[in-house]
Amino acid sequence: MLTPRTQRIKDSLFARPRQISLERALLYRESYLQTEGEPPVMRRARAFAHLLQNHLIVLDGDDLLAGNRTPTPRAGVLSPEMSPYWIMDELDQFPVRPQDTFEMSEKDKRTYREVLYPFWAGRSLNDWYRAHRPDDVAQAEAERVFAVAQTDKGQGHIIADIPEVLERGLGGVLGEVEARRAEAPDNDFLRAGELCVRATIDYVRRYERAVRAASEGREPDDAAARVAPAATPERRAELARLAGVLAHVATEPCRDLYDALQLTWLVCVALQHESNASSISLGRMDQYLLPYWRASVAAGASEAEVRELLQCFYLKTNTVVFVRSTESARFFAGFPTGYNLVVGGVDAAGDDATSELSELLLDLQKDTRLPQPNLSVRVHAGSPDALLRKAAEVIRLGDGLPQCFNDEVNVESFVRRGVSLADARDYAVVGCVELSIPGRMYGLHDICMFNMMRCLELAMTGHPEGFSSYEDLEAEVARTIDRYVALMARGCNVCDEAHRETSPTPLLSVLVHDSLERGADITSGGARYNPSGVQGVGTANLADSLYVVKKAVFEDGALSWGELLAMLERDWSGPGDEAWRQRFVNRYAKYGNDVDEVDQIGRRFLAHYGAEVEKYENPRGGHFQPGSYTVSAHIPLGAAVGATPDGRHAGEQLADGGLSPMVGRDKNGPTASLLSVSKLENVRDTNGSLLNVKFSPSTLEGEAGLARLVAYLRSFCRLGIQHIQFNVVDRATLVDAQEHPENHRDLVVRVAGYSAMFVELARAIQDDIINRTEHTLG
Amino acid sequence: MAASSAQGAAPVATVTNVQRFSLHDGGGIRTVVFLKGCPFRCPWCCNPENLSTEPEVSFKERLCIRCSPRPGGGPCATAPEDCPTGAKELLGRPRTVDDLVAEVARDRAFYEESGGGVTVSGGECLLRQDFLCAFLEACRAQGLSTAVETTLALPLADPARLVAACDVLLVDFKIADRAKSLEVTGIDPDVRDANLRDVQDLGARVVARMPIIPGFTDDAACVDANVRRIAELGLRRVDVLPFHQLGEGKYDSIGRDYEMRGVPQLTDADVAGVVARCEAAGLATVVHGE
Repeated sequence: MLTPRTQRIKDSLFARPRQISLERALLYRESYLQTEGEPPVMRRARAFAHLLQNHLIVLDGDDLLAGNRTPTPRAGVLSPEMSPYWIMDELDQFPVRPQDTFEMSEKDKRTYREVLYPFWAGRSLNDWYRAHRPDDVAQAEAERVFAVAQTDKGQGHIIADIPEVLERGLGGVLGEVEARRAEAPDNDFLRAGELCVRATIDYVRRYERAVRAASEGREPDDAAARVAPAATPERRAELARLAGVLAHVATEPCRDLYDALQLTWLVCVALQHESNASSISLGRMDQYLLPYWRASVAAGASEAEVRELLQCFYLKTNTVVFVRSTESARFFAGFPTGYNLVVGGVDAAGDDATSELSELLLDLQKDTRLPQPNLSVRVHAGSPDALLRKAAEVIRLGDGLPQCFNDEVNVESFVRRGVSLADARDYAVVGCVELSIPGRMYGLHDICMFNMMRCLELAMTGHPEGFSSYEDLEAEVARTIDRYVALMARGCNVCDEAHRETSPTPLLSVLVHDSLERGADITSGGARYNPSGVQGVGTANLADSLYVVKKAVFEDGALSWGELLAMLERDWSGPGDEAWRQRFVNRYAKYGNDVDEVDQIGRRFLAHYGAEVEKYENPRGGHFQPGSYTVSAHIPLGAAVGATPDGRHAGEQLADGGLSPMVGRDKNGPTASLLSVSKLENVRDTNGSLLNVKFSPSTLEGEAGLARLVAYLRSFCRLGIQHIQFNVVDRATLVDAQEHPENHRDLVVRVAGYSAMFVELARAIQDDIINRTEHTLG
Repeated sequence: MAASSAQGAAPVATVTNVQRFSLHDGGGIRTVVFLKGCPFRCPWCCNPENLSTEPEVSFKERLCIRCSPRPGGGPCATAPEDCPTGAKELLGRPRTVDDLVAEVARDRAFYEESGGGVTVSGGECLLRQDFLCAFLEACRAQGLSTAVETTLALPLADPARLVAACDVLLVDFKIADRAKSLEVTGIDPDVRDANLRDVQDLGARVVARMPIIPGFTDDAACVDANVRRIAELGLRRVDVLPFHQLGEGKYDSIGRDYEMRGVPQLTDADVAGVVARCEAAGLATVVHGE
């Protein structure tokens, strides 16, 4: 249960419509006007420091933790330094667009048009990208085979080495940067890094001064600080305690849970100020908080006190949202901000690393019932029953949390790519389902989605004369994939370079090994591990489509190649076409039903895609690696593809998730669908893959239901599947929430790799979630 | 019989459905194999497609897209295997033991992690005891746990063989009064009880299952008589199976009359009343079964 305090904080998050905030953009510009001629890494560091010195800091009358990204919670922070263009085009759309709406004042729109846009046009990250992007890459993007991401926003998708900050304190981190600088006084990155760490220390002190003033009943001397005056002596005492915590963690190592949570959050806020990016994630919190939690418990902190403090932290992670362009919000709907928090799994020696804190961090979801932090549990063969039962209890709430990751395949997957065994065993999650090594990897995990179904379509329509055998058709699809993978890799690499050239992230880099040792920002290859992760999308639809063509055209001769192409071309609108479409949907086996012949087609193509992307290198000295997830992109990616032989209509969505069967086509239940997915070469998808399963609440009722879900999770682990997540909401509730959103403002559902408020999603995604097969009791 | 096994040939039976991820049929995550054919006629039967031993064609109006002429509004002349939507479907296919074991063995991981396995149901699977025992034995040889759902009200050809191949028998207790049972359903409770004693003597594990059917088995007298009998037989557990209307559409699709149309389902309070009576007699009681 939330306490009265945390309930008020939760309510305040959704009390007012989300605002667009220009605060960061204006301060950024102010700084850039002063730093013309300096290297980009220094300009970024100075802009960051300027922002931290001047943005409005606030603390309401309830909170126990300080640190706000924006003046009001859940405000959208525009980054014209990344791309001023989409913002200019969409200024009037923010309040009315189909997904992720924001209010924006007329005054701010004018400021944007007259001040911000003219300053950044021609000098943004996006300008650099477009100026350097080869024409054939642009052409392929126009053909909607892939779209390079992060060409108009921060990179994100990373975990800083938070445990080290907690252990050494910001002062300890600063000491190391200074020592490195002494060895290389001319290194711009180290100079920028030092500036950023100092700015962060000063930023903590700004909060301390403001909070201390309020605790003493004074106005703060900082004009850009608003702390709600203490209404009671109890609140005064709370503020005094908070000021003490802030004073300590400005430079010193953490002593207890309060220190650790406060410092973690302020580092998170600072990193967001720097990058303004999706998913600067939390990593394995049950591991690194453990000593501080134990210290607090040993010092006599009550269970209730600990729980309330953790609730405050969880609520804080919901104050940050990430504003995307209308197009991007279609792919990533409903604010997957990406405060991924992982519990469980193995330690560096391979032994189970679960503690009481792991269960507590899962259990907190019962109190907060919000989409962030995006909880994940790592499962391995030796995971204790208690942890899985706790995970099952929370899954059963229906919020889609936690999602589950499988150490049995994910650790090996990293080792195969050259990650040390100890580092691989420390993996965590960023973004939605992307796997990363905390504090050691800059993985461009969400740099591109690749539409394999467009490749099928191009291969088919490019050959009206047909193929002499089914094998020839498969070979042509594979060649088409290869051709576009080459273009995708080039496009991603230009984006990679654009970040290096225009948008280094020195604070983040200081907190990622081995940037200090190498004296290089992570955008210049400073991280220990440097992959680029690209997602192969369309496995289910590709397998289903090719299987139909194989049987109907090449084996049974039920219809000719030309007849099939004509039907697809006219989107099944001719006389008799609907009967064919129905036949293709209903009379041919589909991926996800544990039918080997069709599942193997999926395996072949996802593995082919993976093997192909692995051939390419990126500018940071890393390799491309495959993943397979769609977030909500199966809807726009489907919109790019015409009718296909699996019976899809033109523009209809693709299978959700990444590895999930096509919606409505898995008829053999959730054991069969898991077995189908297990036939894929899952160990190859090091970047992460996604499987959605939906259960009706009745299936999981009672003690038997809990035991069943635990058994299902153990089976998932044993079958070597990387990821699974659950939606446990009955259809009637979702339909009612569509019709009466006012009654379901708090309904949290799983989208894909993350959860979101159902009523904040666009209709098409709501429909998709409703239609994903609901497995009920047999 | 549609597909009986000749002496010495691989046993074959007509199977309508192999239902994976079944959760209330003998414990854990299970696969249920439905054998076609039943000598009894319970008016509330929720699997009417398994009454006849012969394959039959079902027609689901709501799936039909009228791609072929339908003279007089009835079904078209298209063969079920050519129907594009599955509106018309052939129920019941001959399956061999080997073919069926290969299919049910696919979910081994789930059985092992959940304490589940394979359950044979029907119809009345005792109509095909040769096939049933051969199939159960083959499952056992694969290391799969086995269960049988039955009235146990047919003569047992080889009780020892059945008990040896079956981990648990789920045995129905429906209309308690013998005369009424024979009249309404054709089931002789005395035959069941004699069989039940035999298999218990052979070491069988038995769970009683009590469908609660409005107007047939839901009155206190019937419930109490069943509970008494279950206790007398030395059984410790009963599954209470509340009447449901999920089978209604199946009657329409195979053109059978349905006597229970429109009969309301039980309320939670009705079910709680039955559970209380079972528990008062000292029986471990599970609603829906597990």
